[in-house]
Amino acid sequence: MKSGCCFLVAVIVLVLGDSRVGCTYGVRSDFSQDHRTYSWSFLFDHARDTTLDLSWNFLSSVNSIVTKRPDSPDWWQEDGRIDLSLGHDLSSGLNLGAFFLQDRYSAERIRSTTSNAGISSELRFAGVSLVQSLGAEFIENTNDIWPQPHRSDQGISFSQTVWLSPRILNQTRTEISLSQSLLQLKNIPIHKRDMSLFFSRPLGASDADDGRQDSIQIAYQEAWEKKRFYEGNIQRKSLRDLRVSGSRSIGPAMKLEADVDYLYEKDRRYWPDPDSLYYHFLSSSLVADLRLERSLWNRILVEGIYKYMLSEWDYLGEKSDERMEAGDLGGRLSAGITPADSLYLSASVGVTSFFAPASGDFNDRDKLTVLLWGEYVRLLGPYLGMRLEGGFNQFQLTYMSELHSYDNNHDLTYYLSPSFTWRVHRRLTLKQSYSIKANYRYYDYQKASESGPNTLLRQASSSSDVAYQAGEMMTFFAGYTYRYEDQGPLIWRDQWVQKIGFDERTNTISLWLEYGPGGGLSFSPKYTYEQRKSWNHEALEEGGPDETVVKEKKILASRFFRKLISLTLKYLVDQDHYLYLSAAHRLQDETKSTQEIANYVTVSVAWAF
Amino acid sequence: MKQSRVIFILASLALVLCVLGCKNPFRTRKSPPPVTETGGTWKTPSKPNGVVDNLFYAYNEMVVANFDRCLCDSFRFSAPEDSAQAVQDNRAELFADWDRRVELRVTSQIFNLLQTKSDSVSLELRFDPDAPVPDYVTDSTAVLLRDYELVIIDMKASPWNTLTADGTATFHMRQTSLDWWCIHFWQDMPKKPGEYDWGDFKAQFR
Repeated sequence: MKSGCCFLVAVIVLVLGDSRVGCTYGVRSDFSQDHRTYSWSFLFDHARDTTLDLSWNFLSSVNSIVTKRPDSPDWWQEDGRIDLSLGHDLSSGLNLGAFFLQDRYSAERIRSTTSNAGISSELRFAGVSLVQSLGAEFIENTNDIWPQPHRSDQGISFSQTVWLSPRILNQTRTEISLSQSLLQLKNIPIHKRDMSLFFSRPLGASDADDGRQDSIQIAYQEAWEKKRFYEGNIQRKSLRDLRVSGSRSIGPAMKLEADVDYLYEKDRRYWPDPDSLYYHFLSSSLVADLRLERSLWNRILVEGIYKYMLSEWDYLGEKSDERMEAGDLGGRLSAGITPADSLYLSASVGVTSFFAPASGDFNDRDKLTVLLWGEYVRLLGPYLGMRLEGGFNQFQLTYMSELHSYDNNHDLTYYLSPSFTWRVHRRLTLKQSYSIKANYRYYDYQKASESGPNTLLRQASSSSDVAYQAGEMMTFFAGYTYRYEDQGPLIWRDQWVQKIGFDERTNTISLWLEYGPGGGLSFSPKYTYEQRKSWNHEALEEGGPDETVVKEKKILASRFFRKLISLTLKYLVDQDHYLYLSAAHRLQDETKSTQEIANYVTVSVAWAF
Repeated sequence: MKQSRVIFILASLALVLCVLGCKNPFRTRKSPPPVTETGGTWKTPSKPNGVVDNLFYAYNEMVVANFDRCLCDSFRFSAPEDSAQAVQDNRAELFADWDRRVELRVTSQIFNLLQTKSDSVSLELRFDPDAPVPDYVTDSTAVLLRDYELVIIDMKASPWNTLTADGTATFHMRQTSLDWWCIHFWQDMPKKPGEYDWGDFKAQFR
């Protein structure tokens, strides 16, 4: 990587010394240390157009990762890229250029360098674009596990792309692209051909407010690839993809959208003798979407969706052949009921079926998924707001084989979370949130078993937050969260009964401030303290031989605490100009484990000139 | 207006036909009573470590649906050393774009093959109970490293042929309000450079 770095530094010096008009360059650098992983990345890009119809682009990037592992050597991984291209407009329709591209990769004993240098031309006339390139490619690979650790290859690369947009019908858009590329390496030649067609036609006048004009679109792609491996075996792959989509307004407030995508892929591998096919894989998939959207009284938006999927993976009679069919029906509703009330609801129900007859139906299965989610927001006054969130998930798994139906199970989760925000004073805001969550999982054929896998887990939490704005530049925050969780087996005694086996209580206190003196600069220190205790619930028998009483006893299982101090400094002008520094120190300890101290650092700089 | 109504009726009819004709999204197939008594094990993934436990049970009990629920929708798998090796072997696509769909298909094939050849091939996954690095858990994200051993035994060979994948899996997880914890990024590294690891094993089924 040394020569690449020298080249990079030389180019940066040249570029930074150049202040001509029409020249842009940017630098981005990141460093982070997370536990035992250290990452660096550096990216430099430069684009310049001169008045002499000459343009050039240069991009360079280097990424390095070091992972320190106890009892093992450090793991080093690096990759880098240099991409340089020059272009000169000979006339309005002809551009000639040259390029140099180098990719380097190293991961411990593995090192790879791929370089490609050559010339290119782009010819444009009457809506047709012809891009060609001719180059020389060099590959250098080093790998200690090979009998001969060094392997290189070189050859000619050639590519050709024709793009045209013929005007077939009024108001329609048609695009045709044909391309082929040949990499004539000595050992591993690759030949690719690709064709794509795109047709689009608007339906009706283009007066859609949301920019989604009624239209019909058809896209077709066909690709073919042949390549040889070092062992001499050959791979042939082909792909066909047809996609038809359309949208149509039905009256002023309703819209229908439909999308159908059919994809077919074939992969065959064989030894040069044409009869020695050793791998054959076919896959096909059909995905169809139908979506109906309706706006009611300009306040309510209702959407209904049906999605159908059919996929097949065929290894020509192998036991891993599988077919998947899925149907999913869903809907969404968002409503601004009054200026003070708004509601959002979403629901979906779907069944995915897997058919695996070659496996003796062992993995033949159906998965039912039901998802419900709702959110209601109400402003109770000018300074008081309420948000109520709730949801329900159900997953049901059914196996078709009697050898596997013991695993048939249901998994249900319920969630409810109300929260209130009260702006007591223009400087003081209080927020109180609660949440409860319960997960039931039970098996169809193991209901009555006490030691069975049926379980119930419950969680509840309460959070109190205070925000105090001490001035235009500074805000103090304080928060306290209490969380309770218990879990245990579910037993069927004409109805579900829970036996608590474990419970846990967590207390978390956070204090932080945000200081923003302006100009995109902000500073934020934060302190968090967390304490957690867990108890096991055990049944103990007490009393004499005549009378035995079973009493439940709670036994402290573990104690945990964590302290986290973090500092963040941001200087944000926009997404191309920023500086971000963050550091955190964490100390935690748990019964039966050693105290752990960890530090985290992140530095990011981006600047475009 | 009349035309709009006709289109609406046709669209609604198409939606109903799709729902009825393509795939009923409300009903699963009937299942026969079991003849064996080996149930899959599952813990509610209310903590990141629960996801690793579920993955462990799903792999050893070969319950692909439980494995499925350990992964987030945005799941990605990465094996940097294996993929570098694949690039050198002109098989760059072997580890490229390894998302949830690929992971489930690969795992489904592994389980299918092992279950249908259970008399000749066996697989056992072991996690080292001592994590090489303490778990990093925040309010909604977590990074857990686990040293693993995946032992594949060919019982048809004489003597039995044992292949061991040895390495460290890094599970990056996140929490959503109802989906509990799930793995969104899984990185695999061999124990020693060049050794056979989980990524190598999985790639054989892609």
